[in-house]
Amino acid sequence: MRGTICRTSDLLLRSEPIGQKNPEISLFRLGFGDRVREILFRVPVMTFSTPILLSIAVLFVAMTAVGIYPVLRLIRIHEARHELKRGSASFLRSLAGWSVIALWIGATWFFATIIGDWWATDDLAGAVDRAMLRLYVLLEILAALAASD
Amino acid sequence: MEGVRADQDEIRCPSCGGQGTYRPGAGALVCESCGNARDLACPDRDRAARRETAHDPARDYETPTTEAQVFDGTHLHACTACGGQIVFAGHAISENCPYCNGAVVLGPEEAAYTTMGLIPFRIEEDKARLRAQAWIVRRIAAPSGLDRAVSEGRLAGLYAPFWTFDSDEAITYWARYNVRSGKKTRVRAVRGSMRTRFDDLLVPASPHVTALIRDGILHDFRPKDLRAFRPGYLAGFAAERHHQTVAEGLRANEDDKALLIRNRIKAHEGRRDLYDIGYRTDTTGIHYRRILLPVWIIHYQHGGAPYRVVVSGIDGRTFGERPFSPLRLAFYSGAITAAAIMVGLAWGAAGVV
Repeated sequence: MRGTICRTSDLLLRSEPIGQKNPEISLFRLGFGDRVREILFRVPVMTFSTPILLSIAVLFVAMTAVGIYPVLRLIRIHEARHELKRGSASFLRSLAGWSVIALWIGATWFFATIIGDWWATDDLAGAVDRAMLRLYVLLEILAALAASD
Repeated sequence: MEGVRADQDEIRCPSCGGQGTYRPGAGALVCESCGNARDLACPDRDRAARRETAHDPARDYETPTTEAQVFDGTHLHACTACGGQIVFAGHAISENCPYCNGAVVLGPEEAAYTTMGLIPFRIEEDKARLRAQAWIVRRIAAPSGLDRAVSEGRLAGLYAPFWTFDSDEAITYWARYNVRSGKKTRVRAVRGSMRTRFDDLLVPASPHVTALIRDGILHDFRPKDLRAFRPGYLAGFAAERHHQTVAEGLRANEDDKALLIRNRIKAHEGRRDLYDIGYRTDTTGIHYRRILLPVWIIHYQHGGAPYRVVVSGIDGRTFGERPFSPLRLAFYSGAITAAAIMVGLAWGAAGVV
């Protein structure tokens, strides 16, 4: 499943001729609407292979389960920000620990970027290598956020 | 609680001798029998109630002399569950503790410190319940049926004991922060001094009054709303008396005060990322009041667990404890996760670092 890799100019999309798609590994079979869109607007259609879909599903389920506690913290912080006396001791205590939310969202985003890169290039090892720099930047940001938590 | 011994006289109606109840809507003590309403305001005594008392920690031993405890609780009740001690002016209005909903029993008479002032209830029972219901239906990711549980919950009106503390702080502090330079992290130290003041800092004067009650509903304490203590204000409500010495009250507030001072040091330095903050403070100008503040507390149950919603008796501000629905939490978590995955996929596919 090789195709021309699109970068920022064609975000999320692959400029692969539709006729060359492998129907066995394509999640979304091309329908009439897709063909009309392809002809009229020259917009190619996204396809996902089974391993990539599986990865996205595993990531979604795992991070949804992990995210229950951060969501609970998020709601408590939201309530504290809107209902507790601003600057009071309880207000300050309630806001502490918000970096766990950033950690959860950051980790979800990071793993998704690897899958996105893998999807675009068909090269998982390369995608993991390229993610290292992204990981470094993410850890820097998370460290700065944790310091001000 | 000056005058509680004579509470029966004040609470009884001078016209018919009936039992009086303080009605927040009318702002008066209303006779249950003939409807006669009496205004309890007393401008001279009310002005005096707003005054603060100076406290010198070095001469703490003198405080008991200036502030003697008095035996006056003719209707002291003790909770069998949380140990809270409450009084009812006039007849006992409830057999349950306003704090935890546990059963109360008539306890031994104990001495207590004189209350300097109180803010009477302004929000009536019906309004308090409506406020609590409105608060509970706005909760995100709450289980269904909570509004019904709150509407059926037991509502208790309570005068909770609080301190107000004023103090001037001369603070010398030291702290550290990190500076990133390329791949290196350098630790920088900072030292400094500042002066700050706490004005009318509300401090719960009982372990049963949590800081969440204070910071959740008592946002706008205005000393000019204070009235002189009169037993009539308590008629129809429960109240907890002041048992703490000034030194005990100051000690109970140490953790909160330390947190506030650290936060002010961060603001003074203009850095939120300060850590290992240490400080020494020279506290002067301590003034205090022993006051009672009106609180409505609703006790409700969900899944067998007890929860409380508190409503300010002054302005109706509401806060409380609430359960979460695991399914709804998972739904919100899934939605945020899906959004993060979409952005991540786009980011990775676009080859952006």
